[in-house]
Amino acid sequence: MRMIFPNVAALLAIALLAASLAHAAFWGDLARWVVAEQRVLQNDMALAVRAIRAGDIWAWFPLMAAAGTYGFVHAIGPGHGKFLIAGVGLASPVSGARLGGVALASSLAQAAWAIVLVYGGFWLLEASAAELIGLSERYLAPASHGAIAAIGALLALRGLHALWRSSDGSASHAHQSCGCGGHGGHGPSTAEITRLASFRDTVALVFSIAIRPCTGALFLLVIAWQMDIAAAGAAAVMVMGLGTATTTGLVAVSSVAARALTRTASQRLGVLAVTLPALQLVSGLAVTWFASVFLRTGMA
Amino acid sequence: MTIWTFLTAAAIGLSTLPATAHPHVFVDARIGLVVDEKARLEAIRVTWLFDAFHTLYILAFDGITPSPAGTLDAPARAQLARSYTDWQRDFDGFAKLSLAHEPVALDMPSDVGARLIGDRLEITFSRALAEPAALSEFSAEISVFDSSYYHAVSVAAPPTILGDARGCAAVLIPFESHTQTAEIRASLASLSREELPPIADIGALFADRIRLSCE
Repeated sequence: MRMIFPNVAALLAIALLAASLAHAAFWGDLARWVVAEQRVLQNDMALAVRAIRAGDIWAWFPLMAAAGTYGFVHAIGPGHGKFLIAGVGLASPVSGARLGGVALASSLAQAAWAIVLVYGGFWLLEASAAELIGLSERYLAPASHGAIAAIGALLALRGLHALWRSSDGSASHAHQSCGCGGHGGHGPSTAEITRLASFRDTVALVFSIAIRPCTGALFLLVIAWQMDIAAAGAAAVMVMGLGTATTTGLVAVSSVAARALTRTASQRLGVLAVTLPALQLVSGLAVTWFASVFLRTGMA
Repeated sequence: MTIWTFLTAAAIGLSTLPATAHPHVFVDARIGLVVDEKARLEAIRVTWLFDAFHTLYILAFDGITPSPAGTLDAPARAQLARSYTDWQRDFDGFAKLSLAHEPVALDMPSDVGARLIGDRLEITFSRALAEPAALSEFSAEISVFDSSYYHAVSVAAPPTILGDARGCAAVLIPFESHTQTAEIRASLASLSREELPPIADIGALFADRIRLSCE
């Protein structure tokens, strides 16, 4: 019986590897599709915005449809904190529903923050569009990457800490109950502390993603404000955020599933105490690495 | 085996992350080649036609309202022409000229025009060579791209030869996606939507090219 498990694990590994290769081969087509689709959706939004400006209230429908699809398609590319969400899903014992909730909250917060920034900037500060875009590119983008890099480093440190303790043997059976709701943290912390920590973690995650508004949303808001259709612009940007949340939510669920697979496989092999902290360490390092690259190139 | 399972699961998770850098602006470009009677390239004439969404953004950004008939008045045209040709020194204007594979500098834009074609803004300008370049021995090549891929610039029509240039021919060599290498993909994959790429001139790998040769 004991011999079966390594074989199962081997099959699983091969299946995952095949999926990974298929993903790589598919990648170029997906990228082209995303770009072509975005072009169509931008034109649809332009058409609808002009129709609304001309007094056609029915054009709200095509604007919302185009904006929502734009959010979904656009978020397939990097950004919107997807790699952070995936890193957290791989690194921590969080449920798909909870991480999906974080994805939704950060997309909506990102959209709301874009509205506050653009409309508030125009209305209260009488800022120019150039100043608002400049603020986003020069300060908010690096702030977001910096915050994401810091969270990645924190994940990695927690992983390292857990690895170190598991090598002591003291935490080797501490994971029997995790993976079912975000409260199976590494270590003997009380439920209260865990809840507080995960609330803080959640706020930090949402904040790090939302602080940098999406360029497409900024463009739409600038257009809507100048064309005196501010309400339509704000509504469309919130719908765009829902579209984005659909994509990041899928990433959240996938990453939680990938962790569950790893967990199942390594539990059968009796190496759980090593693999999960190691996964956390690697995920945290990967998040920090990506964010640092973006930070460096974004500021160059 | 365990470590492989773990690594592959991690790879799956991470491979779902980056897909591609995203352009935000779509530009259909046209290129005219000004060739004199001695078969020398004097200048290129560039036309940019922006997508309808970005056109709205440009107009909102500059506070310009088109007439009900969808036209721009003279001050608006002048303002747009100015803002589109007031370039930073290191901006290449989405076009790089080379002669016998050696880069050739182009002057800042002159003879600038701006107008609306339907719901799209068109900017047209010329860029002269410092000295006319003889084409009898070498062909000239112009790569059209945005090095940051923030603008997706594609050449929308075959090049035209302007001036009295018998014996010269220009062809469009469109970018073909199957020539995209693993290296490019890996490099793009590391980009955020909004970021500039870590390697210089990534857009060059997607460039549509124009080749001009004379007998």
